[in-house]
Amino acid sequence: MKKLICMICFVLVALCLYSQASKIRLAVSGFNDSITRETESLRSGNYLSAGLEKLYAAAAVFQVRESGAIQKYLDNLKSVQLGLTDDLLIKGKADSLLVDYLVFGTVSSIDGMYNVDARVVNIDSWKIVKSYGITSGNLDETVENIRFSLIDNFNQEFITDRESLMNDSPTVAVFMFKDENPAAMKTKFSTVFSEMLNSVLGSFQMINTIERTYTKTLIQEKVLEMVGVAENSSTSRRDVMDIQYRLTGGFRVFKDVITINYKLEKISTGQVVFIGTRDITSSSVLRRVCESISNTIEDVLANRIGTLKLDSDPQGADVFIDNEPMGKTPLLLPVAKGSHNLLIRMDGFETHRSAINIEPQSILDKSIKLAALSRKLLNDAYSLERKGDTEGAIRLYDEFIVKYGDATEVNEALYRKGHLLISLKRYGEAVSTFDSLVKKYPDALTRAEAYFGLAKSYYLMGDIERARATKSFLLERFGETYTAEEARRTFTW
Amino acid sequence: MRKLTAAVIAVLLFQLIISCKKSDAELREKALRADQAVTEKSEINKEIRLLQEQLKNAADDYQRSQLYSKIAGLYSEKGDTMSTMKNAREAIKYQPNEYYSRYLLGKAYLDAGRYGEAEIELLTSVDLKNDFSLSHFELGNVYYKKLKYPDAISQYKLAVRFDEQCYQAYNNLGVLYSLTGKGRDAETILKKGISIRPDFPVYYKNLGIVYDSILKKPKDAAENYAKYLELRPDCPERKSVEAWLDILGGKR
Repeated sequence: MKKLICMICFVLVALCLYSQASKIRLAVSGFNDSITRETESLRSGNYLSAGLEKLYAAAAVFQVRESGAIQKYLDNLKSVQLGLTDDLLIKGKADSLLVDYLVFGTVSSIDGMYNVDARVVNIDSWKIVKSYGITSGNLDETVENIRFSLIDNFNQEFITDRESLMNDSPTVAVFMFKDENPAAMKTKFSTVFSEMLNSVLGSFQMINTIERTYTKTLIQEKVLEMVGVAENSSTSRRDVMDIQYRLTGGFRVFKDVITINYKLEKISTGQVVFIGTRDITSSSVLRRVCESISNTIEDVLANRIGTLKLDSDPQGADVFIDNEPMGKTPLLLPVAKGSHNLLIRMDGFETHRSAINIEPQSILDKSIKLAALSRKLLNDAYSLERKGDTEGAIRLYDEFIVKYGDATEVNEALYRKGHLLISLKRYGEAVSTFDSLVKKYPDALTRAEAYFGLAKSYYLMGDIERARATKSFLLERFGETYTAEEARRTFTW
Repeated sequence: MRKLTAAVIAVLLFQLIISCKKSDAELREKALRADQAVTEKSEINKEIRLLQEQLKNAADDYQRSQLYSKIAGLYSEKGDTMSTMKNAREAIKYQPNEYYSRYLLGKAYLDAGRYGEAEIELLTSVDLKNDFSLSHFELGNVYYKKLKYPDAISQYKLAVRFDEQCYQAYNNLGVLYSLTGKGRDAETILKKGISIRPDFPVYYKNLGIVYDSILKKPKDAAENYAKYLELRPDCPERKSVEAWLDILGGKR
């Protein structure tokens, strides 16, 4: 009989332990209501966290630790974040809490509406496992919605699925958005928006989002503040989490429009992988903008953007992708996936043209050796000019123009060719030659001479009005050049 | 038969749920687009559109360059880095020797984290107009990001030399003096900044941190934290500053 009782007790204890082990161990942290004074004075944070704690405790799948039991740990985290304590103090302490997940949240009030954002966070990785955010006029309604998302639809099966995706997904941290003009400083948009964005991004399955509360993404330590430069992106600051990307941004508030600027940066290289901007008219669409921005960020991280690492020998060449100027080599650029036309140009070198194919999430590393440009054709053309073989010289200039396309030296060939065409009384062709010079080579030294040639050609064609307009432009823009002096002296019309 | 009816109902319900979800997302996107349409009527966006219209009838390259530069300036005011970059580049294409367009392009490169190119454009800008304070200020920011603190300090000094009212440069100089271990210099320059622009809150927060963490003057630190909270009572880090103040025993 005794043996039987012992066995029954053993089975009961085992069953009890098993049922406990299969439960989700969590605690609800106090919701932050200090963003806006209204929610702080109403103690809305306590109201929400206490309400949620009760609901979690009532649900069978959770094993809830009272928030008071982990308060000391949370206080220490807060102290680290404020720069008052070293983070060594909390190393390894999370293991003893008997909790796997913490529920964090914020509540604020803007323009008569409550913004409530709640996140379930893995206590080891500090990654958001599930989140929910709502903007509503009624706090009780928000509790009901949070319950549906973070309690009724949050179970072991969900966690297994969600966490299985985490290893292969990029990790993003939403840093505090800044108030970038005086009008923005009078609002609470930036702080509220950062919290909203954290929650919305946290609901995306293909992205790992780091919880902001008690991590250095909030940057609340005693850190000196620079002005006019994104100071919360300093790589010298120790980040506590394994964050690959940071999302930063700012608000500028104008009389009738609010501009939200944001950028996604790769932490290891400091490379900005995406920059975006949105205009809105009121705070009522903040959450929708968060959803839209989160979609963009997912696109960027999942499948849209690759990187081009480009160098040239010699360095300092101008780079164009699909005819858009991108800067000078060496360059590290985010480029949309797919095929693009690459053009590299430098004085004294042949222009490089090639097609490149950018793969998402990968780096295309290219180094281009630029071939020195041969001036033989040009010199031969000069020599024919001197010998009076105008047609022959024009032919060689054309050959040079075709062969070297966009090279800077082509402006010399165009300039000489234009003047030779005038001497042959082929004024129409001269006009188009000078015109392509000024359009294609706005920085060329021959530009003033080209306008001189243009004015002369128009005059000789009988188009006096255009000739005068071009002459005045030349005198106005290049008034101090020898060419302008020549125009004043010879163009008496 | 019952099974078939149940299956049909299930499929219909499923489709209804999908369509509801879709229409919900569509509605949200539609609302966002409607809001975007309204923003087009805002003053700053209307000004940009007007300048873009004028571009179509620009008489010459000089006017074209001026218009692009103005558009870039407005985008820069909005903080729209990519549009600033694009329009400043166009302005430079038509007028390479315009210091202001170079400044705007350099600033946009800085915002985009392209520090090398930012440095080149801002150096060109100061070559073209050496006494333009803002170019020196942004160049200081570039050097700060490149961790070249002595160069950054030189540029901020030039920024305040050419414009005594460049209040942001005093602040950044103060921060850099602190970072290079010159607490007293930081204190002096931040106080100088306060004398020029006493309503700029960041001076007080930074001065508080300098007194608190470097010069170890808790009373002065508390006074400055309190002043910061007085000037910016709803700052995002209000709770943190209040906590620092409490530790120092200061009054809010």
